[in-house]
Amino acid sequence: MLQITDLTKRFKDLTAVDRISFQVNPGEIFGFLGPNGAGKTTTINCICGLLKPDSGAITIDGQDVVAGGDQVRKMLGVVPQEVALYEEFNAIENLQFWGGLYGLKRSQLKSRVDTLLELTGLKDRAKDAVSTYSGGMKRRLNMAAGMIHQPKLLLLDEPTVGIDPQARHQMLDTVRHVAGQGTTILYTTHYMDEAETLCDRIAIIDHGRILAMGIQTEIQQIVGENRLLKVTGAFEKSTAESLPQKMKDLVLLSIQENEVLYSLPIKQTTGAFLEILMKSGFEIDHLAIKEPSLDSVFIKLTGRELRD
Amino acid sequence: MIWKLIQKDIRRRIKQPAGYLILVAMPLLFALLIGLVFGPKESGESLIRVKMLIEDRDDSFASHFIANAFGNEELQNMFDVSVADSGAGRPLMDQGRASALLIIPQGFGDSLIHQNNVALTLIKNPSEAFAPKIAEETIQILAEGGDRLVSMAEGPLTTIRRRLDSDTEISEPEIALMGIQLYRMIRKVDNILFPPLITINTSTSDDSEEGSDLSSLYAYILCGVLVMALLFSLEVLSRDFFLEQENHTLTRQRVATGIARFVLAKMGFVYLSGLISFVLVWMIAIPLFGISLSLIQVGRMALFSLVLMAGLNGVITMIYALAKNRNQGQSIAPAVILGFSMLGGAMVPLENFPPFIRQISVVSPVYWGIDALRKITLADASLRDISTHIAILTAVAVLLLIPSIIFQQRKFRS
Ligand SMILES: Nc1ncnc2c1ncn2[C@@H]1O[C@H](COP(=O)(O)OP(=O)(O)OP(=O)(O)O)[C@@H](O)[C@H]1O
Ligand SMILES: [Mg+2]
Repeated sequence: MLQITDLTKRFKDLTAVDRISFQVNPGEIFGFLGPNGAGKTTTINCICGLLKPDSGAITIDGQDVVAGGDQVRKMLGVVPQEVALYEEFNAIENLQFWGGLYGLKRSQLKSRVDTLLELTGLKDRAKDAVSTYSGGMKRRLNMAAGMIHQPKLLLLDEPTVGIDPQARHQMLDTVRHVAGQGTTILYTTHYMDEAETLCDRIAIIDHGRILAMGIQTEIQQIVGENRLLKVTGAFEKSTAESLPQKMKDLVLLSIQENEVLYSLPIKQTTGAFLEILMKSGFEIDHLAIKEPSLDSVFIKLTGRELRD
Repeated sequence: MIWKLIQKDIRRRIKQPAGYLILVAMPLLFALLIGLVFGPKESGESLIRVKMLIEDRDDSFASHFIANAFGNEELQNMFDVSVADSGAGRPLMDQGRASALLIIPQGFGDSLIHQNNVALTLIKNPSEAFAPKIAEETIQILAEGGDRLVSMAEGPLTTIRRRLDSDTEISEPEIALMGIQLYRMIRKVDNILFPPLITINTSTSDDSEEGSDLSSLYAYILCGVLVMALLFSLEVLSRDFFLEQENHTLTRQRVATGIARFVLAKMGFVYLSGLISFVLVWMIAIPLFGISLSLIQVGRMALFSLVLMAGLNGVITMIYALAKNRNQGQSIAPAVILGFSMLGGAMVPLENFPPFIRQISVVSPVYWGIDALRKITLADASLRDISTHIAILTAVAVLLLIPSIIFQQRKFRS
């Protein structure tokens, strides 16, 4: 469906997207996971023709995107990271306008608007000006506007930022629903759990490069069957460094002023680790245990944590 | 598709009509305000300077009286008077050195004193739109004054005759003073009819003919102010180029339709708004200032407005295509508008500029707009007469449109 080959985009000296290649298969939800400034939005903007790539190829259904054309445009729906709506219009007027741009006929438009208002739970407020909406409501309408014309490929750029857990749940359900109807989805997020629960396949991106890609279990093999243990408190640096010698398979990942990160195979008990820690004279303020997840993959790959 | 985008803009404005109406009515407000401030008044600095050439073939107290009249406090704001020797006036006129030439024939003073009919000749410069009219009107008034002076002032005339005979000089200020006093006195007894003694033969150095009434001064000023005000109005409306970017609604439109249609539609909307402004101004200004236009003139004006608006629209769209962001656009645009307007003669008539500025003023689209409007309203010019103006403004519109789209595209895509 979507094929990206060696895509590079530079802004002056900064290479925002650096020779990335991936492919999204028809009907798939593909997760694009990365922290702030990773290059997610830049990639999406290249796909939907907003930015001209410096090099590389993007095709949708075999058609070149850079060359553009209305045919490619019609296949594509985008939900921008920023809410892109007319505040003076109400939900219906917004959806009708955006749908009209894709050449939807009046009757078609009406039924699509109804469906989407239902799907996003905005029916009650459909006739109020968008300027009176809450942030979450705007986000939901923003999403509806991106799929008014039933695109074959839907690009979602962090659609759930800044909305409450319940609305977020509903949005993820909507995405699943749309995917279930055969829409291919590229889903950009920095939320681990969204990528984990929603996406069929995932690419982890940072500094414009794809660090890992595959189905979730494949990616998790990068960290293997290991937990991450983050200890916060007062300790000697040398003590922290010497700890792996005292416990089999314990690996020091990173160390800072009052925070140290280890990984430990899940077959080892955390209790044993805690005992050694106390014996070594750590003053523990806090101990965080991370079960094997994308989060730990990311930390392993970049040495940094994704923001929450 | 483009029409859908334009419709969207219209609908958005209808949701908040007050702000839009103010924008569209701005040229009208401008026109009214400036019309009131700079229009003809009893006294005060006038914006229009009339270069008046007087060829005095008589060299009598009476001819001096006329020359002096232009120097009195009420007229000196408007007139620069120079006196030419007998026979030297016409060549100077032909070189375009004055707005109007007044020829005072030999024996003028004598004829007045003996209450014989006498004719003054006024030759107007056809290349100037308004100044010659002012000259004509003023002389008309002076002539009336002269008539009445002669008829009423039997007494003073006798005195003058006697003093002339006794060969004592009457000083020029004395004549001026006497003239003004009499003139004022005469204006107060306007209802008394006098047989006209002085007739004025008016002609233009070529043979084009125009009407002359005070309202045409308003029309003259209005044409200039209108074009400038339209530019300002279009500029504010065009800020939507950036506002839609800031609201991210541009992102969606670009994905759905591409930038070219967005630019075209935005221009289309601004264009329509400009036409509304234009119609509004004439609808209200014509009755208010008593500007008389024939139906044909109104038709020409309507047709010309289509071209004018396209040219002005092109200028603004170009500025906004080149500007990196709204702030930059908003600071550059007024400077460009003012520059073009000044150069185009929107505020100060071109006649009052030094010749080299007059020559470069043709680079300002505003010049072509104003000049054509003035020709339609004041000189009853046909569309053929202003075909150069039409061609140039069309070219401006087309030539600026294409690069505007390219620049907009480049700005966003890199
Ligand atoms: N128009 C631009 N001009 C210059 N630099 C840019 C531009 N757009 C993005 N960048 C830079 O490119 C890099 C990638 O930005 P991008 O917006 O793609 O990140 P992102 O993954 O979407 O981040 P976020 O999660 O914050 O949305 C960043 O360093 C950003 O500063
Ligand atoms: Mg982003």
